[in-house]
Amino acid sequence: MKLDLQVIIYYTARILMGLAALMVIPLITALFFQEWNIALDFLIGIFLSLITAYTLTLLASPEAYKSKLSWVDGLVAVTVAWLLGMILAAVPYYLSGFYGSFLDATFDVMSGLTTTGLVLIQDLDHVPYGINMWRHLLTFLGGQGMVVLALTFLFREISGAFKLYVGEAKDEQLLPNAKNTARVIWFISIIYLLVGTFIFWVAGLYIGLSPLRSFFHGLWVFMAAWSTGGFAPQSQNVLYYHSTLYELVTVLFFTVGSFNFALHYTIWRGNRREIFRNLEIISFFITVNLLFSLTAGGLAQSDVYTGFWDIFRKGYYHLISGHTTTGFMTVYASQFQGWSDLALLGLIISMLFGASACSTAGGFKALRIGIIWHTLIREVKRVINPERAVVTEKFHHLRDVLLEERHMRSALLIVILYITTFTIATVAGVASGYPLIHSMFEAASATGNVGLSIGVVAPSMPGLLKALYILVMWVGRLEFMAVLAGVAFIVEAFRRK
Amino acid sequence: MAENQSVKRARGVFSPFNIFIGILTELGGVALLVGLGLLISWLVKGL
Repeated sequence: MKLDLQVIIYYTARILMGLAALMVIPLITALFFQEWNIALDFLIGIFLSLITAYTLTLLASPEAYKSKLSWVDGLVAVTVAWLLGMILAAVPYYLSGFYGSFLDATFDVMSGLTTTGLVLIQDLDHVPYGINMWRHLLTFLGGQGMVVLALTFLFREISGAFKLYVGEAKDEQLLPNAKNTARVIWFISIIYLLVGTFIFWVAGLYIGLSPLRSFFHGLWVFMAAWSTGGFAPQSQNVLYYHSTLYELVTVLFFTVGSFNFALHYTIWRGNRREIFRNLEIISFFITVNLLFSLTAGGLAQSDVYTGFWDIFRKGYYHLISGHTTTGFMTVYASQFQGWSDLALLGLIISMLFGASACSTAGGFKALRIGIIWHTLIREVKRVINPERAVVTEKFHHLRDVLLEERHMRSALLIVILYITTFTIATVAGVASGYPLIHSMFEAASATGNVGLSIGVVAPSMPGLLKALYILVMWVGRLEFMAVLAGVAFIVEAFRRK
Repeated sequence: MAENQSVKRARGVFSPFNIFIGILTELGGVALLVGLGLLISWLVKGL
């Protein structure tokens, strides 16, 4: 077997071992709450993951352990690990009996790992603690990155590890070495996990939840908020709590969760002014307010909500939930159908725009929107200045950066790929018989890894559409490059034959 | 040594105090954004 393939197999096996180790947490939770059947489901899941990882390890020669990762190897290893991980992580879901089919279970795993938040689980209000822990753990893990976790705990310092890290669309190297960068990401997330769970726990007690229930709800809702995931332990999502305080706390944490890890790192080292100067934050701030004006205008037109407080509480909540690609909801999916097209358009655009690069969020990313804006400014300057004039444009992202062709090319390419994917998903929705605006809404939600739903995603939706949404969530999360590298690798292998 | 100190000052330090104030800064920034959202809601409904 070719060394390239063996290297990919070796790293995939290690990541799968990490997944098996992670299943121990929901297993312990299930044992704690005496959910014996669920504990057995996790034991089976752990066993299958370990067997798969062990078999793959046997296929890789010892040389693969020492080989330097090439860019293609790194990207393909991430792609394969995500696909196999999705199948293995779905085993306990499927065995629990809360899913209509194995496809539905894989849909929810991909939705969790990509921090989307669309769900096909049935009877969510009666789901055992062990399964709920697994759902939220997957979304928390997905936010930080499955590979980032593996880099932190499973690998020794490996040559070319940065390629694995980039494969998961985390392209900011906070420290010169990829392993330390991964550790900083986990350090920031764990600190926020402690702070956030405590604040949610207090908010839960305030609204009348019992201490134990408040703790678990706080932990899970925090995990989903920080990862901009959008899962919640109840079918009514955040609406279940009927509390302005609880909603406000979710907004605080999912918005902070949508910030770039490099920005957290910079601010936490004392460079606090960065938050007011950073291109991503400025771009996010402007687009949130512009798009909310659109949605608020649409809501005021349609008279769905009578007062300004209702427009703020429902309209702003969903706008910012969509823009940060979180997907928490405080209305039923069917209630969106009463919103005017203008209000829904604001939401659709915000879901596509997304939040920060190198964060837990999806979508185009605020940095790319900022770069495209600066490109426009540069081109206008070129037109109004003499032909021979040297026109330059700068932007500030952690430091002053001179706008170069490669920035513009990369930003435009990814945005074009997102729009293409969104269009394909919209066409598929319409072809399956859903109205255009509903298809656009759900396509934007899946492409941007958001999780807001207007009612298209349901266990009864066509199987082909479920499979397409799985693919769309996956390519959207990995920002296309890892998946394209995987496809190129397979094509190249066939051509050589 | 003096040069190292100035480089360290410019790059900042990962200390508990900076982390605490950093978290407050980030949450404060979000609170500002939410406040602006409230203002827009009021303006839209008022107009």
